[in-house]
This record gives sequence, C-alpha cells and structure tokens, in this order.
Amino acid sequence: MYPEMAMPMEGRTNWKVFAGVMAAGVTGIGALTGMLMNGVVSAAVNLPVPFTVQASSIQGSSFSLAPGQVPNQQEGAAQIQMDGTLQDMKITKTVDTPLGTFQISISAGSGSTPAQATGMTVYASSLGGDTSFPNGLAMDASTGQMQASQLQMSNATLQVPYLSTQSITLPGMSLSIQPVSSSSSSSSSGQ
Amino acid sequence: MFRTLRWARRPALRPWRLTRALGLSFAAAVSALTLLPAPVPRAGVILPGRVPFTLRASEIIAQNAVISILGESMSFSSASIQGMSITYSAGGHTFTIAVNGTSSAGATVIKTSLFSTLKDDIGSLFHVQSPSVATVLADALLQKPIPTLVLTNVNLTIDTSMTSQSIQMPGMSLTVN
Repeated sequence: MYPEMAMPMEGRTNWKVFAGVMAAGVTGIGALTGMLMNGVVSAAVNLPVPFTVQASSIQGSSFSLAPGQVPNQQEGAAQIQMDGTLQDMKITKTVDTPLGTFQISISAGSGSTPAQATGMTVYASSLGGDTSFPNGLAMDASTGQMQASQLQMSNATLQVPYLSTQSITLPGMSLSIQPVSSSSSSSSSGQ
Repeated sequence: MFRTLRWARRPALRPWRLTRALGLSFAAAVSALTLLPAPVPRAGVILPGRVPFTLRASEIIAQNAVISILGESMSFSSASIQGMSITYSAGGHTFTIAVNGTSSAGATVIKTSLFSTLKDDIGSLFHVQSPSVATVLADALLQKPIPTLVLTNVNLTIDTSMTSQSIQMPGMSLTVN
C-alpha cells in the first residue's frame, strides 16, 4: 500500500496552456470541417436515426439490394449497398422539441461537385425515383438479392432509418434549421 | 491350384482386343445412360429454401421470346412491360418494387420451376394474347423463338433467377410492409 495514493492531488491548471491546447483543437476541427465542406477530405459517417435523403440524381456502382432489418430494430428495410455520386443531395430530419417542431436540413453536392460516398450501406424503408440499370440487373431467388454493376436514379427520395458510409465528401455543405410549426426559429449556414 | 495354373497359362489379352472390349463397354454405358429416365421437373413446386419473387404485369410485349418447358426458362431479346411490380417476402416483411409507367427491358432470361406447369395450367401464370396458346405451347416444347409474344395479366412466381442486360423503371418505388 502506498500512502501517497490516499492523499489528494495538489496543483492547479495552467490556463495559458489550457487555452493554447483548446485553440489548437478548435482550429483543427474547424479546418477539417472546412475541408469536408469543400470536398478536400472525406469522412466516415454512421447515422442510426431515421431521416430522408433526396437527390436530383444518383449514379451508383456495385449496387446490391437485399431484404433486411434495420440494425437493433424489428423494422423491415431494404439493405442497399453501393458506391455512389449524389447530385443536389439533401438530408432532412424533423425533430420535435419543447420549443416546437424543427426541420434540420443538410445540403451538399450541387453544381459540378456532387457528393461522393464509398462503401455506403443504407437501410431504406422506402425509395423512389426514375430508375435504370443500364448494365444489367440480376435477381437471385436463392438469396433474394438484386445486383447491378450500375444504377442510375433521378429525382430520388429515400426514407432511411439507418445509413453508414466508409467515406463521404460533402462539397458545398450547408446546414439549416427551420421551424415547421409556428414557433421560434434559428438558422445557421456553413459556406 | 489346378484352376489357377490353367488360368495363368492362358494367353494375355491382345491390345486390339482390349481396345475393342473397352469401346464396347463405353458404348454399352452410353446406351444405358440414354435409356435412363430424364429428370422430370417438379411441377408447380416452389424450390425450398428460396426467396421467390413474384413478377406481375398488366402486359408484356416481348420480342424473340423463347419459352422452354424442359429448361424451365423464358428469354426474350427485348420487352416493354406495362404495370410492372416485383414482390417478395422475407423476415416477415413484404418488399414491393412497383413501376409507374412502361418499363423497358433488354435481353432477359427468367428461370423458374413453374414453367414446367405451363402445359397444364398456363392460365395461372399469364394470359397469352398473341400468338395463340396452342402456338406458344408447341413452340415452348420445341424451344422455337416467337417473334412477338404478347402476354397479359402476368402473375409469375420466380424461384430461381431473373437477369436482364438492361432495364429502365420510370417512377420506380420500393415499399416495405
């Protein structure tokens, strides 16, 4: 038994060092966020909450669709795996708060720089849009799986209870929070 | 002992006799295999352990269609499909892919064991609009291409596979119930 272990630690925070470390950390996070918004770096994303994804077009590759269930839930969903390019991507989520109902929107990938995702796994409870499989579609009843080397969708809307990607770039990302009901509002925007 | 010695004294089988014996054995084996009954497809039975999906369409106009009862398949070089939907059930949920409009498919092969029931219960799978049912059945036995095959009220359970070289699905929607 070491008697010094029972004694309280003595000392105090060096606020100058603390402020320096904090400033460096915040600067680093800000730089990473800025690079993510400009598509310079990509991030791995895991969103286990239901939301809606809309895109004017989706160009997918290595597409597969299989019957599945949302992880840790009983809800049935189509498990979609692919690498994809999403033009005019918009992720929306409606949140009920004591202050009212708000819609959180994240937009990215407009113009000539679409959002790009690799290793994307989406559990979709519904999806819709003008769809084509220009390089073929195979449906296998032994697994219930649909596979296609290429997917093209326009005016796509997906109800997504769960999404994860190995990496995603969100060029021109902007975040907005708007009230759905007649209550207080706030709005912020990046880039 | 005596028998063994007598057998040992026999002259060895000459090479040409050996070749002829092997050839005759081979021919006999081939003949026997030919006479064996061919495997009969299980009529109207969905293959177990599968996730069969049901293809429904109000109308399919297929070009260069080949239906094979023995091969349990249907293929066509291209088709336009009106009112198309694909449904399958898994894990207690029903997945439905519906197309709002006319779907266009390229070269497609559909394989299902239900084609073996074609001659008995063709009406449960689809209604043949053109050519006549008799022509379709005769061509299906011979696997003869049908230049233009028009089917309506298609309700086809696919327990093996469907592959298409290209397919367009305007207004596609997938729902889970």
